[in-house]
Amino acid sequence: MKVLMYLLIPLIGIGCIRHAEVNDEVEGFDYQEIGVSEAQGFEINYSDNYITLITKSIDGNTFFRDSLVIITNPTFKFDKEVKTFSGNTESVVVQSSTHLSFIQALNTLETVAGVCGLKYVVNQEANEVFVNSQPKEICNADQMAKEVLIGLNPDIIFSYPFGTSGVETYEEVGLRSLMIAEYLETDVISRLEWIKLFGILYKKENEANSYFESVKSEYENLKLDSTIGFNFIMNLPFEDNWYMPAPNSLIVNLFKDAGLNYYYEDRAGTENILVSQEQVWLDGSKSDVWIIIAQREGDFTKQDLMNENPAYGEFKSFKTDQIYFCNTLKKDYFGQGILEPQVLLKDILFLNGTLKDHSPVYFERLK
Amino acid sequence: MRPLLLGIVLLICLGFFSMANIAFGEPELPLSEVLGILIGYESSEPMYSLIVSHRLNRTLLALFAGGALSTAGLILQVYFRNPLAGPGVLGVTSGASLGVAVVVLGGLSLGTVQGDVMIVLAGIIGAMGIIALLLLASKYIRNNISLLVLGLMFSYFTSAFVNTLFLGASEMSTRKYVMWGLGSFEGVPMSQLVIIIPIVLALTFMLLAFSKSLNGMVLGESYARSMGVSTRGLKWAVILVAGILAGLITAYCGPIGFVGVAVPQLIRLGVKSTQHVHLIPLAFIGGAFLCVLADFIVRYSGNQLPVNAVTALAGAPIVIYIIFRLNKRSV
Repeated sequence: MKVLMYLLIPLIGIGCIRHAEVNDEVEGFDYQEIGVSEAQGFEINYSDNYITLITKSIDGNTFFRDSLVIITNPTFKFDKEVKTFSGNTESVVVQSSTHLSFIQALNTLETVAGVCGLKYVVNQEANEVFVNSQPKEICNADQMAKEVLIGLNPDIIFSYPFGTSGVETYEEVGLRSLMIAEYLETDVISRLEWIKLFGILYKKENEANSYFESVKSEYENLKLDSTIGFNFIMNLPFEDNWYMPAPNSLIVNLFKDAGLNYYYEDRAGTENILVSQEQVWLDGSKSDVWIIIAQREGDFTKQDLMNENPAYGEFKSFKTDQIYFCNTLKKDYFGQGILEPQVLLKDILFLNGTLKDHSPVYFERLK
Repeated sequence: MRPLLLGIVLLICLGFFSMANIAFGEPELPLSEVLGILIGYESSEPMYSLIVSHRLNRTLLALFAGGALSTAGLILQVYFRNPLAGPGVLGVTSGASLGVAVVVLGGLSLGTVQGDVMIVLAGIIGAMGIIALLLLASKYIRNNISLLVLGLMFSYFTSAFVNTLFLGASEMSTRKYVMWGLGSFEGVPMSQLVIIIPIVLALTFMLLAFSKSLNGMVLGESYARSMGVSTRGLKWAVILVAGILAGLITAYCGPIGFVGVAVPQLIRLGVKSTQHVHLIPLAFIGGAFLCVLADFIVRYSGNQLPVNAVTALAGAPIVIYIIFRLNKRSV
């Protein structure tokens, strides 16, 4: 009996050794190498046999790191724990409508099999495609509908790094995901550069690269290097609190590029700044410009704004008609706006009087 | 003497924290400016006047909301002869929430949450509906604990119904309802307060007229009848007063928990009296004090804490104490 035990133990040990995975079903493909020039939240690393996409947190944010290896040489063997992908993206699930924008720009909306918050998608082009492709809702309140996800069995799930992503669960059930955090970038051009990551996944890296370069060039030509002297506050309160974006946030940097100064520039940190409503009232009475990005039904006017709170009537921007409003219920600011940062910049430059011939697309002067 | 002493102490505390809630906070305003504005002087800075009136409005709402919820809790406890009864426990607040949810999530709202007549009416109808159901059930269910469990079942049912409404609601409605559900005394203008305050005061004074009947009910319905109390009239008074008070306040402030159950008990422990001519005003002042104090704490937490969390922190230990006390008595 003991002899049998001695014979079995090494056999069990051999059985437990992890074997490298052979990628029999993967076909190799040619690709064009592209680099990342602005974005800090992702990397593209090229090797002889694969491309590694790494997504990660940016300094000051809660840490996360994710990666996906795209196999370019089918004969190369990877360890089982490496998250590999053939590069044939035919079916994806997106956790945010912002991911849809990049997919739309690459004309691959028909690959979207599932969306979180499907009924809230305001992207007209996406909704037109969805009439035929019929993607599924993958979120149930603030939870992921895992059974739906498993049923869809997408090639990739584009997920949030924080909150309800449930990435561990995806991996457990054999689904492949990649964390996308383009919104953590600190400027709109860096955020746009994430189109390159999607470009690689859809084997449209050249298209993505040239789109990015042309928008970047236009934006760089438009942006102001010096201030025009106006300072600005932002948005509307949530109950009694007013969350102002951090001074180095993407949105604040966009308006700084339009020559405006942020009223809360001296506040530290990378997270939103919590200011009491009453404090903002006082600051609003001194601030030149008030930029509001919010959802409002109907034709929202200054009077409607004052009906929400009479204190707004005492704001300097209210008295001087310097309230720039983007109604996200009507304008696809969070979708198409990501792809058109140069248009966002033009809108603000036009509204603050720096740019003449332009018809605002996203922002309007509240009247 | 004891009710008078407690009343004076509570009034002093209420006055102190009400003033503190108006005078202090971010931004810090000069005390002389705050006092000047309160007694009617024009401020050099127009925004100061708006800030002071904003703080005054929320303090007044907290004061009358607390008073109303505590009074509603007191009469529910007497009528159901259960020290654990209250608008929250019996499902009355959930009924009001259901009413608000039907209007907000069902797209029937006419404007903002505060000040929308439909929302207020729906809140009141929802609260009164649950009280009426409980009173009906109390004919068949004599056991107090069973009645409380029934109240909890109503709460579960209404919550499930609200969750179903979420499925079809728009993003804006959903956000509006979630924000309302956090509970707040913020944002109700004076034009609305001049309606809320007289209603709350009128109903509280109306209850004082029923104080003898309520004294009789403490000893049981048959005893009350033998004293000549019209139990049917009292039943309708309870539905009307508790329903309107709880529904109105819930519609304006969101569901505020524990005030209605904890404060009346504390007052009873404090005065050791069953005379409702004392208990009603004391419960009102006590509830007002707790809510003003809660709002003061909320503002000093940088508005990070919801009112509900503060009232629960204060109220839950009291409720637990009552449960232990009841258990001890029964043993």
